[in-house]
Amino acid sequence: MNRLALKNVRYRYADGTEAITGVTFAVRRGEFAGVLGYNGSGKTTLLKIMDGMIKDIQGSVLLDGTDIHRLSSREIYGKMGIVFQNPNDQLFAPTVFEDVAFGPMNMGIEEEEVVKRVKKALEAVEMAVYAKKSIHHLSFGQKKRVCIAGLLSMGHEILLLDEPTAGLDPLGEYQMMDLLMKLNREKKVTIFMATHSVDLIPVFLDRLYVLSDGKIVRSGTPEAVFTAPEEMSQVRLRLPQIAELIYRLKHEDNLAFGRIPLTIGEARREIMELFQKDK
Amino acid sequence: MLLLEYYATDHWLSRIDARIKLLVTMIILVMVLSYQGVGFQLLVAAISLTLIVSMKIPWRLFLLRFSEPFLIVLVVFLLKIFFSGHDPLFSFDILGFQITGYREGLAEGIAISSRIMAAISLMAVLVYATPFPELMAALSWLKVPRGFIEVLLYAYRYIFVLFEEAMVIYHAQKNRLGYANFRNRLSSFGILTGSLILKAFEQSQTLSTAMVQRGYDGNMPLFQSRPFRSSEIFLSCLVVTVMGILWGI
Amino acid sequence: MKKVSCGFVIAIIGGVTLPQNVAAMHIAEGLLPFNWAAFWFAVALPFFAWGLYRLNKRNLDDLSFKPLVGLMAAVVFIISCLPIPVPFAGTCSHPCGTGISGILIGPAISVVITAAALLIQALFMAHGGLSTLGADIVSMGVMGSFTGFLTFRALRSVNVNMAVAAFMAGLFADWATYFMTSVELAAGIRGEAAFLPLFWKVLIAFIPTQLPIGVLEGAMTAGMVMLLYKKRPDLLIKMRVIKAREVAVIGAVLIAVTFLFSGVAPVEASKWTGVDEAVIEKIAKEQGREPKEPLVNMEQGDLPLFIFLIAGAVGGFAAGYYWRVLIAGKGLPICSGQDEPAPETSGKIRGS
Ligand SMILES: Nc1ncnc2c1ncn2[C@@H]1O[C@H](COP(=O)(O)OP(=O)(O)OP(=O)(O)O)[C@@H](O)[C@H]1O
Ligand SMILES: [Mg+2]
Repeated sequence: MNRLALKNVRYRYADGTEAITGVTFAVRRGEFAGVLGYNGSGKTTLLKIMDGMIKDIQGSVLLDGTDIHRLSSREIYGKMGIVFQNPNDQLFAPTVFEDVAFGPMNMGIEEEEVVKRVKKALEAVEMAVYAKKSIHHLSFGQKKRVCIAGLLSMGHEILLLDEPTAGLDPLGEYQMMDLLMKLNREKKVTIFMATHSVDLIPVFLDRLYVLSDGKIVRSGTPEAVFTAPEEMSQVRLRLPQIAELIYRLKHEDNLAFGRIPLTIGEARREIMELFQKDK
Repeated sequence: MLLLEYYATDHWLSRIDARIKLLVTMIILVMVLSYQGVGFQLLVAAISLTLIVSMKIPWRLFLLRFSEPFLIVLVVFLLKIFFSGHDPLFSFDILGFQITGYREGLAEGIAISSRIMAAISLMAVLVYATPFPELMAALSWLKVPRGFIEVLLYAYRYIFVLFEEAMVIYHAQKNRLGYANFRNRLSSFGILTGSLILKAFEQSQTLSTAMVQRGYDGNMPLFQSRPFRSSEIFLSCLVVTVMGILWGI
Repeated sequence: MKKVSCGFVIAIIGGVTLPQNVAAMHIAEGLLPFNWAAFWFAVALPFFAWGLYRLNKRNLDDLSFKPLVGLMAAVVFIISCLPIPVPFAGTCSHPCGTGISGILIGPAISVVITAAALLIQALFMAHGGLSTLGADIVSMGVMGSFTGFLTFRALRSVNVNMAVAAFMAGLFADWATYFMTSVELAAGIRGEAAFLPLFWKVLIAFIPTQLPIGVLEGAMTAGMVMLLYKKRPDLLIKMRVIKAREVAVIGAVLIAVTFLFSGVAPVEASKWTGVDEAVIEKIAKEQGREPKEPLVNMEQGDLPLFIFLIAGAVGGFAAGYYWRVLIAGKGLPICSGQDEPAPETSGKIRGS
């Protein structure tokens, strides 16, 4: 079942930049998908189009089968939320608590329930102790977490995230992805994210699209996308480092790896197997 | 930006409801403004300054806050003393020019100066004891229009963002000789401020989208304020009564 | 008998206030007695209410409008925190930015913007005050925004070049603010004294700061409008709410008045100070007291006055410089002539 489908979408900015040049794909129900692309490849633009923020596009965006531009903003945003790349675009209240409470308050939920939701959302992103803090005192990564908490507290069915892990520390990056995966698996939230973190993607994402020059040039499971370094470098990307290592061992040092693993866990298994074979 | 943020977190005044602090401050402010004389003003100033000292405000902040009003006091004082009245109090020579100060001017100057001192130190107590969001909530409780409060909240939040932006641009310009001479200083400055305005326009667009997607319909929701504690009410009534009596005599 | 002249004292006062140009724009907390504070609140209220009404109305069509107004208030606030470099003596001045917001957002809503910026300044920086907020809104918000807006629109309607119109708008916005502040200040502190003489003295005391700042503000406004014009002409088109014709007439009148005022002021001032002294002399004589020796021997002409004005200015700039250093701390390394010479590398980069 498609939740969000794009058909032949093209978009050019007012200054003539062709940011999206013909994109067709769909995000399915319950999927944890993402788009990968170099700086300026059009990821942010694509997300804004999917969210209905950019309206004057060619082609169509369908949310649960209806053209998104025919839906009212209430209808769209009751189902779908977007987290921007820059947290300052999104955090407008003076304190963390007030910002996270903004969404639920607007939904007309009772105050006690709002407080509960805010607390839960902040706990999920490990920001509960900062509830009273002024937004401008937070670090970049903390702001990003608050952005996400702001949407979590509303309980959207679809989340669009623009580089949710950029600017987070290594553990934070991992925790963020883990949190998103839990949302996806346990709460059945459909997630679509733009990202740069090549090394984390294969661990978490079900499906991956590679964007280059406003076009989707590759798509499929991470295994299907990350094949050879040459192909990735054509679109100014690279393999996950562990994959790169095994790839080189296989092709340059002629070690007998069966396939190219993408995560450390898989690589470990492959290597152990290789050793066992040698014995 | 330090000035904007400071407040005494663990002072007993900080724990009192912002609405009460605001109301009491405003009542005393009105008393100060309408008092004819010096005694009450000095009393208010003394109490306020004592409170400020007990809040352990860093001296630099204190100086910054008061330097501007102090200079105003000085100017008003000079203007009054040399130009008001006709009863010469003193006169002296500077570089062969004689200057005369007048008694009435001095009296009026002192009155105005003490009023300013009282008022600004009173306000300083309020501000140092109340975080901004609480102050805004108190204002909205006082029926200041919601739209205005909302504007204030955005302004407060984005002062920090835009200031950061301004600093980035400023340093970038400076590194590229943007401030090397007066002419390009001016133009750099124009570009800096212009960029801020552009940023404001763009940011307001993304901001409103971010808000709309979280259910914004043109009005920011506000939390209901908690009920007053009776001890707070009692204390404030006491303070106002005592000050009122002192004001009357 | 030598005639008493206020020039010297005014020059000193003016000099002292040089670093205080923000203060000159803002009336400090507590400076106005209750009646005057209330009076200016009453004057400001209709403009403010109108602005708020317009704001709420426009926000219905465009939900990004209230955030925009909040952001503009932040910009006005920041602009008034940023020092403009002044060529001499290494000091800085603050523009007030009301002209530009008047031009861009419209004068009524600009009053709200100014009010927000002023309230934050009053609360956190003690520039202006809660009790004098009304007065400050009238001088900065109402006078600044409306003058800026009307000047710009009027000049544009007779096809004056955009940059020139913006420059004049900034200039007059600043001077109108300064004029109004002087009125409020004089009225507020006059006590028993006559209003007009005091008014002229206040006006003159601030001339050394406000005249150049007006020019700077004009330059800045022009710079900003031109930048917007080049980069985002669509915004300027979008923001153009009222047809130029409607306000041309009012604007022309206003400009004429301001011109008159700025031309006449110095003349009037000397006349009035004369009157003032004459009155004092007369009263003093009546009470059987001989007037005191004069401050400045006017027979020497205006030269000493001028010299003192300069001296005061230099002193003020010096004072201002150190005051800024205090403020600057580790923040903005503040303009001034302190910028290091260009580092080698940047020269190379430029050259390559
Ligand atoms: N407002 C705009 N006006 C004109 N061009 C724009 C605008 N925003 C983005 N672009 C251009 O559109 C293209 C795609 O930009 P986009 O922001 O979508 O890239 P991105 O993939 O998100 O990059 P990054 O990884 O840096 O976030 C770029 O060439 C960019 O210069
Ligand atoms: Mg992007």
